[in-house]
Amino acid sequence: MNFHLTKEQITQLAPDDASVKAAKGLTNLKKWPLLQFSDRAVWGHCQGSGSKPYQMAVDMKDMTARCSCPSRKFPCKHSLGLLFLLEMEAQAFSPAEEPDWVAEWLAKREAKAEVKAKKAEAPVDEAAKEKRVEQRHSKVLDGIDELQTTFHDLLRNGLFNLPNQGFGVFERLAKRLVDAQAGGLAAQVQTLLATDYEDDEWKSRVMMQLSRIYLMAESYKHLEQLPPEWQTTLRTAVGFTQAKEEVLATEGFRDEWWCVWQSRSLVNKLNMEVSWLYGLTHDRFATIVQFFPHSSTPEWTVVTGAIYAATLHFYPAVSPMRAIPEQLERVETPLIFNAISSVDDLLRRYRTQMGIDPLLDAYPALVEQVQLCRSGKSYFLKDKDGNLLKVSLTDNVLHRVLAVTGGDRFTAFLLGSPFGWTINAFVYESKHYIVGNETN
Amino acid sequence: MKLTELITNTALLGTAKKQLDITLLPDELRPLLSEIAEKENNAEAAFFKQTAFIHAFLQAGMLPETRVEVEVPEAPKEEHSYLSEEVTDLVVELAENGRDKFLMYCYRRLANQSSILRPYALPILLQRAYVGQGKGEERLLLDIIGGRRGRWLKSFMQLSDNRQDDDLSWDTATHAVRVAMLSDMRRKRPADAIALLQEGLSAEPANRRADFICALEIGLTIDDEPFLLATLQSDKSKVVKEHIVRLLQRLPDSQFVRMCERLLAGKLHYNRIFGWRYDEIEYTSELKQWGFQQISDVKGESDNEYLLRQLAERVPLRFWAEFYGTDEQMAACRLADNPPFKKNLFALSETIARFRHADWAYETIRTKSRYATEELIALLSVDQREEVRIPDNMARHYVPDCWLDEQVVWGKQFSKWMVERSRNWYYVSEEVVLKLHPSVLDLLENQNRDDKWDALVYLRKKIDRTIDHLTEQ
Repeated sequence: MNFHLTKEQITQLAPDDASVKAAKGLTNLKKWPLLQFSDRAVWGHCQGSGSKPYQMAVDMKDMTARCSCPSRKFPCKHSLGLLFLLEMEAQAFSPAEEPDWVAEWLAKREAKAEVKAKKAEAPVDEAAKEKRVEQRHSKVLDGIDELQTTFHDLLRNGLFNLPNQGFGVFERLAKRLVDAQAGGLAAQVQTLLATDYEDDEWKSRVMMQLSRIYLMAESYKHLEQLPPEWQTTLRTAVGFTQAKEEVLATEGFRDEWWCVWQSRSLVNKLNMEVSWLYGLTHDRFATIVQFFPHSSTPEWTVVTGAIYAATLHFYPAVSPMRAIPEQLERVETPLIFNAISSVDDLLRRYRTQMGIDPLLDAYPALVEQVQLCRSGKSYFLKDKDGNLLKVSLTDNVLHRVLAVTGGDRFTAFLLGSPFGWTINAFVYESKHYIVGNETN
Repeated sequence: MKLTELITNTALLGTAKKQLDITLLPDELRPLLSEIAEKENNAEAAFFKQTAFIHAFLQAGMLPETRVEVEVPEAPKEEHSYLSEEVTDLVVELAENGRDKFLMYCYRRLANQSSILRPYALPILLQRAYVGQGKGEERLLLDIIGGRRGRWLKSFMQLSDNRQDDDLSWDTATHAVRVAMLSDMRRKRPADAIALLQEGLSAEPANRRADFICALEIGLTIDDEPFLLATLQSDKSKVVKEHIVRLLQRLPDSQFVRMCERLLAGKLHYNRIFGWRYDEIEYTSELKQWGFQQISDVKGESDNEYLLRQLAERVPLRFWAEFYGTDEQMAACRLADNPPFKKNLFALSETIARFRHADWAYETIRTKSRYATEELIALLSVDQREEVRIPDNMARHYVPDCWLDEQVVWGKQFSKWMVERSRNWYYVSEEVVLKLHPSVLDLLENQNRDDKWDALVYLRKKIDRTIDHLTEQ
């Protein structure tokens, strides 16, 4: 049976902590009168308080689960319990022919996937599409006008009033931009809502973000004058989406991709999951960004720490990062990767990339042989040459890194931006640790 | 001045009042920014464009820091080997799920062997141990099983043991906290608690004095008698005096108890044929001072018998051994079999509980199970509890708190008895499951209990299995 999820990875599939706790409480073999598997799926019966046990199954291709219990959580505690049991007591599962209820479910899923693929191939009304694009463009420009007017007013009067007024101003502006179908700009403005005005650095951070947003908006107004990759990048930044089919039609990039880190947050009532992948052969980063409703699972199940053989198709951009997988096949490859060996080299690459793309949100990097060190209340990563990179650390990240490394050298997965560098994961003694997991 | 300061200073005041001084900018930027200022009619728009370029300039020129003095924190080397990931993950799981009792059970067992927890678990466990009060034992055990890395990490997490702080803050603590501090002190340094009260008790109001006196029940010994007697003399509060007398009654060698023995000696007579006979006793001022009542309000009981009964309920087992002319074990049996005074009046169970005499409780319950109370059952050792018959009306809906006090696992028979009664309990707790003898856990699992029971039993078995396996290696 090809199943290699760890407890931590199964936990990541859960909708909340209560589900994990409840699922672990079900990992008693006496509650499971049936535990079986086939090439495609694993299934079982779990005895609840009623007379009939619940039936649940998991599609091994993408870890999608179904259960006959009435829970609205997805995956439910029974499905998670089944997976935990599989991780702990695999020998309790016996190979068997798929019962009707499993085979029918899997067949339905396959049929659905085929329909979806066919839909994507259906012909598009180009004229209607172009009209919609023009209308949206016009709305976006209106939204940008309002954004710039707001920003001008703020600046003219001075930002010292922002601690009192900022939240209301930015909240209203974000809503207006959403109405103007400029969701990307709205999201950028929304980041200002989280400004900590108690922190002395707020002034420079806010000013930097305001100027970045302004640059995005102003550049969009002159879209036609820009090269194609900038047009695509700016449209995406403002909130236009590119059709998946168009992206999948571009040249694919095959590699074994290691999921280094993953973040989840709530954006407009949808879960947004960003999985950061690193190509082990070509030393290239990619992100898979997925949006899905709160009580469901994403289209692709990407688990932190896992390695996938995949062909990725990148969204065209000045700095191509976001990608769509053609397929994702989990593989058991030993984790061997190349990392940047010095802070100097890291910053040289960063400077180059920022020179190419000043709107870059986050620059990912793996840097090896670094030590955590401090000067007063500030923390730095020190490489073997003694060069320092200032990092922003929450207490949780600091304590986790120090606990595991004990001050020893490690490999850090960093995200850099104009706002600073953060450690989100690290590798120490061949083990991969996640520290910057943000669930919003 | 840094470039970002130039920007923020202008932005804070507002472009209506201040403009960006381009002359203060690096040479490379001035031509471009001047051009923006000339071409752009709107001052704010020009400022935003200029700042966007300045930020891009800064990002494109980021260099490593080199002029900062840094220190590299390094953890000391460990002297013990690490426990397996399985054990460490189990401990983390218990901590994350708030299984406090199970966690402490794990810690106690792990502290008895020589390996330490893997470091990745330390932040969450330390954070847990140093939040809130009453976690002295948890911190102590974590210091042991967290190894040198754990103790080193504490300094970064700014966690400290507040024991010393507690001593220093007696003067500023609230009354409730002071009672808790005094109780804690009685467990660790009982004489210091007496010394503390000698200094400041008289300055407190009566109700607080009473609370402090009650706290002396913890670790009460004959060494406390001088202080109690002195306070009994000097304190004016009736409530305080009552509490002191109650404490003195618990000490077999106290002046009070010796007085009761002296006064009772020779006043009771027992004959197999004629039964019990009582001599006259005078109600003296000494007895009145000690709180004895003169008049009985029980129909059919004379005042003389009532006074003798009060004395009899305050003498230890050695009195009855001397009375019967036998050893204490036989005396306990004879007294339980045929106690003095009118039927059901003699509060034998309360007397035994007052002296906290486990063997007396055991012999009494063995002789006549009707004397069994929750308190007396709690006094018995594990082996003693296996042998007595506990009345069916006990523990019908809950487990008495006093049965959960000690960190012992119940015997097999007692555990089976508890399992049988547990079907009607209002709730089940980790403490109860931890006390059950391992042999009855399978019995519980095979019964059709609810999920909560199953989860607790499963966890207990998992902990035992994981740590037993460790011990076997």
